[in-house]
Formats: sequence, C-alpha cells, structure tokens
Amino acid sequence: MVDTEEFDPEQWVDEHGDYLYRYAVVRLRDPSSAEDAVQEALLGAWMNRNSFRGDASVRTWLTGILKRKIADLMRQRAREDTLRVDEPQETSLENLFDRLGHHKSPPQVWRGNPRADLERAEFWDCLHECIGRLPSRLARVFVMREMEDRNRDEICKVLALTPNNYWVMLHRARLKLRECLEQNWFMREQGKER
Amino acid sequence: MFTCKKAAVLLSKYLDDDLSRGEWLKLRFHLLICRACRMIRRQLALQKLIARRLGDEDIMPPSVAQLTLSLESRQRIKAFIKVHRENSHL
Repeated sequence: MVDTEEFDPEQWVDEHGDYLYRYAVVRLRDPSSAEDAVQEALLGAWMNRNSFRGDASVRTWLTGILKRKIADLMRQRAREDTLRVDEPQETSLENLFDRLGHHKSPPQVWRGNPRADLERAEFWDCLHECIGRLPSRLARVFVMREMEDRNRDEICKVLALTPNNYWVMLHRARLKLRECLEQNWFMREQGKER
Repeated sequence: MFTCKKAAVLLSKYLDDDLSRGEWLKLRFHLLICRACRMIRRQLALQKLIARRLGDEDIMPPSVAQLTLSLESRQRIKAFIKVHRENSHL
C-alpha cells in the first residue's frame, strides 16, 4: 500500500507540470486548453490519490489521468462545435476531387528518403504545425485515432459521430495532412532548408 | 465507374484494417489501375506510422519541448487545487 498522505499536488506542479503541459499541447495545440487539461488532471489525481498503486511512476500515473481529461475536453469542444455550422464541407470529400472523381491535387513522388527525414527534429515541428492547420473537428478525430490509437467506436462515442461521418472526417484529415507535409516538408523547395 | 473519390474512404478503412471482403476487392481492383491512389496508400501508411510516433511520448517537436508553464499558470493551478483541498476537509 502506498502512503498517499505524502502526496503533495504543489510538488506535482513543479516536478511534472511542464511535462504534462507539453503532452497536452501536442494533442490540443491551444495553450489555454492545454493548461485547463493539466489543471483538471492534477486536481483529479489528488482527489483520486488512493488509486495510485505505486507500480508505475507518479508521472506515468498523472499522464494517464491527463489523457482522460484531454478526451473530456475534446468531447466538450466537439459538442460546442456542433452548435456552429460554419464548415460543413468537413464532413464531405466533395472539394478534394474533381467532377470525374479524380484527386484535385494528385500526389507527387516524395523526394529523398522520407524515413530518414524522421530522424530530423525539425520534421516533428512541421508535423505539429500541419496538424494544427487542420480544422479543429478534423484534428480531434485525427489525434484520437492516430496519436492515441483509440478505436472507432470509442471515437464515435466521444465525438458524437456516425460511423460514416467518422470515416469521411478521418480520411479528409489524412489527405489534408498528407498535402501539407508534401508541400512543407517532402517537396519543399531545395535551398529553403528548414 | 469506380473513381478515386469512391476509393478514398476505402483507403482509410484499409489502413485501419476495417474493410469488408467486398470493399477489399473493389479497392484492390482500383489500386491495380490507379497509380495516384497507390502512391497515396503508401504515403498515408507512412504518415500513420509517423503520427503514431508523435503520440508516443518519447518524441516532442522542438518548438513544444521548449514550452514551460508560466509562473502565473503554476500559481493559478496550485491555488485552484488548494481551494478544492481545503473544501474537501470541511
């Protein structure tokens, strides 16, 4: 049994706050949402301090709680978004294809060795930036599916999507990200090295 | 005509191992005759691996790795938890 009386949330803020904040920024992008998530996670952790088993590090335990708070925030934002009807094309593939059903921006052969590029730190900035450029609804589906590896049913439930909408939005996110990476990394103009 | 547009969502289902047998046959036939979709399939498969690596905690984009919670944010979070702690002792 772990002595949870010694838990000090103020110390968590100092020792793990930055780490948790970065973890949240990568998934939520917006700094103030990320801060909210960290705050909620630390409070949640303190209220459920008896659930700490001691077989994992405090940081791992806190990260698990943060992960759930991030999903809660996404659920909340998704609900707010359904009240706005600004970008209806997000749930269709319409404007990515021409009249004949061909890709409007056909793929190009990526230069060099794309896998070797992954070893370059700047690549991850480019990826983070491209995910940030996705409309928020698409970004949420993408982050939950690809980064967090949640399954389809879970994502549909959290974001209140039909399976059909889910597939279209996921594919739309993937295609848009592909295009952004192609333009800004794989096919960037030589000489304009990042 | 089975167009790229019709094959599109099937590609994502394929990447997530979620195709029915009939869908798989349709997609396979389309890929045989469509170079663009073959390229997209390859690139999206790589992209999927990449995104997964970003989700694993050992990778942090440099611009994010240098972020820190501001002093005010730390104080605000500490104060927030303190209020709840005190209330819970009542």
